[in-house]
Amino acid sequence: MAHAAAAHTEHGHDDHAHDHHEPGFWRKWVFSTDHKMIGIQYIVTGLAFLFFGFGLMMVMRWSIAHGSDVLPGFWGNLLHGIFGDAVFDKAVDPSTKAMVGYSLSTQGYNVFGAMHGTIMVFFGIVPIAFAGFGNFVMPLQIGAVDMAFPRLNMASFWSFFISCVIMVWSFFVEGSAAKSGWTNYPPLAGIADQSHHAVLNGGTLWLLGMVFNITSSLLGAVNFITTFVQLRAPGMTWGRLPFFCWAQFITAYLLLLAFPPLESAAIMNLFDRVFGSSFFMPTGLVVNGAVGPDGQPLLFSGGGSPVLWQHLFWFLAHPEVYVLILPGIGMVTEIIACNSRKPIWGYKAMVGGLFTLAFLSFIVWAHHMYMTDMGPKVAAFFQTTTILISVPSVILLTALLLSLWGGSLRFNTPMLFAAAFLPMFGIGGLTGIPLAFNAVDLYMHDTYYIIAHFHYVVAPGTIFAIFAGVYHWYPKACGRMMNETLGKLHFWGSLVAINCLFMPMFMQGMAGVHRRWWDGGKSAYEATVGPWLDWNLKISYAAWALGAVQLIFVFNFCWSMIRGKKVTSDNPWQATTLEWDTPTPPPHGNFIKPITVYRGPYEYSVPGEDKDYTPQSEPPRDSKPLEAKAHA
Amino acid sequence: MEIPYTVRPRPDTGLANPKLGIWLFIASEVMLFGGLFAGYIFMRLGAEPWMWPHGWLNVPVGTFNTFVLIFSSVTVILSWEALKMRNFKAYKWWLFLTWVCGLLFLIIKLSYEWPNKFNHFGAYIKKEAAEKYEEYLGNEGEDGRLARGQAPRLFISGHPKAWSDVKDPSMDKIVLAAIDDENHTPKSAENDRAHFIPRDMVHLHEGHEVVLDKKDLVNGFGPFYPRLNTYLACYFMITGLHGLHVLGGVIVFIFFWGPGSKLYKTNPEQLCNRIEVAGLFWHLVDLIWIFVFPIFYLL
Amino acid sequence: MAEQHTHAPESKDGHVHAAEAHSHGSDAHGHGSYLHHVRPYLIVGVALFVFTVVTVGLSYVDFDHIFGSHGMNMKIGLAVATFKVCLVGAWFMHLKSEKRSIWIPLLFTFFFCLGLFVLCLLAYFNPIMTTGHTHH
Ligand code: HEM
Ligand SMILES: [Cu+2]
Repeated sequence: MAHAAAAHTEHGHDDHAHDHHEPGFWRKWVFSTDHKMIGIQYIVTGLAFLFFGFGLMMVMRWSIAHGSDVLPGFWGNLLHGIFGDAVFDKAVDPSTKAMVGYSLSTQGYNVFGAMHGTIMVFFGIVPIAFAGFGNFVMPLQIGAVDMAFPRLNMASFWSFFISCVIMVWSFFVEGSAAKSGWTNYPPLAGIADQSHHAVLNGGTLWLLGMVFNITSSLLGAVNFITTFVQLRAPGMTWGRLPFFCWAQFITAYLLLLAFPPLESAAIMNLFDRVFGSSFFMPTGLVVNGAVGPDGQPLLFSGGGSPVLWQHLFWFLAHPEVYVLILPGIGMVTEIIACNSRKPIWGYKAMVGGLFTLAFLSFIVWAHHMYMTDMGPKVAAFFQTTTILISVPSVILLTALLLSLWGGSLRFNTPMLFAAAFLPMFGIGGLTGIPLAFNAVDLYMHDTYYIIAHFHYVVAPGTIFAIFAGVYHWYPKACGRMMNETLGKLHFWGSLVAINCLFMPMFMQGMAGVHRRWWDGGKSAYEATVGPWLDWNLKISYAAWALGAVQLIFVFNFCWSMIRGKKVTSDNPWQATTLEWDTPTPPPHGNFIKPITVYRGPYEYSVPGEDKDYTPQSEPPRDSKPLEAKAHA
Repeated sequence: MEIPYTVRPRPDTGLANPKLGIWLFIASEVMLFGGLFAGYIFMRLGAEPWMWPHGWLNVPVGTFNTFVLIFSSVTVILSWEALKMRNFKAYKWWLFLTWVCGLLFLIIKLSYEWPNKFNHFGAYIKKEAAEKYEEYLGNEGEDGRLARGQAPRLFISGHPKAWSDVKDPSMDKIVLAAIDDENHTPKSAENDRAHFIPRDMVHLHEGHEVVLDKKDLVNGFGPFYPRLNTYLACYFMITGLHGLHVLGGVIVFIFFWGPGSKLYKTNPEQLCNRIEVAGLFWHLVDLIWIFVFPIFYLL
Repeated sequence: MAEQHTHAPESKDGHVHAAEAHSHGSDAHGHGSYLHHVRPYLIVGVALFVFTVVTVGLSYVDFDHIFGSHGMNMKIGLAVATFKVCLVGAWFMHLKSEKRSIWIPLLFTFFFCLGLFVLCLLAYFNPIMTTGHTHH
């Protein structure tokens, strides 16, 4: 086969004939079984939720900075119009009795806080980074025609969609949405909805939404793993898989095995809330003199324990934090390799690190529960495993840093985001290590230090990786490039704002400022943490600035779809992996020629080659391609 | 476009897609029921001994249902083997038996076992009021439960005269028209251990008007609903979810027995795979029941 | 990558001859009669019936009393159940001759499931014993 990669990457999208018939509008855009369309559906829905969740946070930052002061007129009216009296208080001038505006109520703060966390984690990042990019990119990278079970794939998207509808709907029921944190700890969560409708209340709908969300993830995980194992193109041996695919594979395993216990916990919790059982209600629980549907103190619960919920929740939620970060690391790896024109350093160590990380992540969960009357033996076990798990994390980070060494770096927008990911993830990960120690954590737990720790990992970490991924794969999906100048503006603005936002939180947290104080602590904790509360307003400015900067991205994303520079090649970044071997955008069925893989994923700047990248599908020059083993 | 390895195994992995898919699904199901059983263990360890009931379920019925499920697990394999031999008729018959068994299991569950709980009344007595109801509890005295080293009995069950009294918050008394064996002869050592056929379900003693003051009752009293105690909560949750799985299996088998079996004409190999995959799921359902049966019925 | 279809389903009469038509099924044991094939399943099925009866019977023996230790009935009952589950897994679900790529992930699943039980229990049995004041 004499055709070199350049020969078939040059042609535009109209000169390749495809023999498949065009599906109608609904089959193509809505009820599609094509993994690329489903991926895009996930990404678009997820981005919408990401911005919605971000919006909730910007309102909360008002409350933290200004307490119960009324919101600026326009925003107050708008938000009250949407969310209603359950979330926004009407403020009246005491002397004139004239209405002065709306402020976020204390209960409203709880609603927004809980839903911010839930939406960002389960409706923003996982759908985009895992389901979205995984769907779009992974089958292309392994040379598959589609996912292994296309209809199941569609089913998981629609199950996800139902969960989205339930979550959004929950804002509009009596008492508004869930209001007890993204962890939804009982018994608090139950009490918070006690005066509302027995079934149609925020917390119960939250659980119902989660059941659908979890089901979607489980179906997705089955599909991802099967695709990864079964549909690799001929010659795509385990050692030739791009790291992104490994990351998706491991992520799918985490979801597959960690999510079901939360699903069972959600079912138990639904029983508690709807049928009045007491799985999570301790004996002797009395709140304001009463609890439970009868309004009596709970005399005998029969073994119920809120700690059980925490165990089952964190059994999921610790692996979940790796679900949040691993696809990000995967994307960053691809982008760094491509833009440093250099193979990844320590590919095997990285894959090994992934496996270790996945294994350990199942046995560290109780480091979130040091405060739950946990004895020394158990605490010692979990401290040890938690410290162990930082080793593979550091391996991944180090390998990526070393990959930059000596490369000829191209600082385009995706690369900027990917490169910034490294120190940001580093800060987030390293600040987790002190938390692994019981003695430190008893003090740090539930302070802003925790908030800063995990936001450094997920916000300038995973979300930056997502941005990098969007800029990087946009030309493949849309056939047009996103604007570079706007992209760089977006990057630098985000980088500065996000650090101004989260860095001071470490200081606040170490000084003792707690999370979940609706007014940032002004009314009750001025005496203990007073000086640190001045930071609240500054941090809020950073948050709003960060929000403003994202408008550049939204504009760029939409505008480039119609006006962006058209790609002149199917492989605009001159990358080696298989997704760039497809026409742009890839048709149903992906590849228009049979794909065989002859080499590893990162053959950049190989000495003696005629160009600085050698696509995986390019046959070796001196041997006949037929000799490549089909299923090595 | 065709997805490869939907029927034939991929040479290097030795697996066809559906088989790998179903095993992954089974793995996640194991974790799902693992979470539920973790809940069961927590409840059981946390409950005070007198709160965790024994012998509330009908063992012969449960045993029969166990037989039904095991039998259907065998028939589904026979049907698959028949299909592999390309014996379509035998395939149909064995599969028919399989889904009929699944349905029988559900019918027994929903027509006898569950309703039997829903129309039975039970109430826990507050410790400080136990004295008042000693006649029905049988804890005190030389021949009392405590003297025999048993956990105290603080539970009275039977049939109320009027269910409306139970539900109506303005009524402060509940009158039982009939009580169970255990409360009828509370001191009998016969009642210390669970019976093969639970007596409190079978022997209702009428003619005893027992008056319960709601003030003396632990909240949650009423029919044998999940809220009565955590044993029932676990029971309904786990058997309910298991029942949904049985229902899913039955639907799938009816499909492959009816319209789905047309595939035999065009691609028997694929039908064979599908039955294998559905069978694997069915064995999982059986396997879960093998744990459910002893922990709720026997132990 | 179209799948090649197998022979049309012809032989209605016998299980015995049909075995030849089936030359490339998904499992290895392609020879012998129907009865020969299904015998292990029947044996396992009967064993499951028997052990069900055994479970029921054992639950009416007071092992706690016999061994003088608490929870013996529970342990014995669960041991029998586990044995039955192993039978189902090994024969009905063919785990005893299944590919490594199937049972290695399953092994991890069981390990994590066990971890969930054991660690929760540990946390349950190992609370912080005493705080400031200890009076009874
Ligand atoms: C590198 C090693 C890491 C260690 C040792 C570590 C350790 C910890 C510990 C001990 C806590 C509990 C703090 C508390 O609540 O008192 C925690 C919280 C958290 N970590 Fe990490 N972490 C690490 C990496 C990560 C990564 C990669 C993520 C990914 C997103 C992450 C996300 C979170 C989140 C979301 C929470 C807070 C959950 C909540 O309470 O709402 N961590 N971390
Ligand atoms: Cu964690």
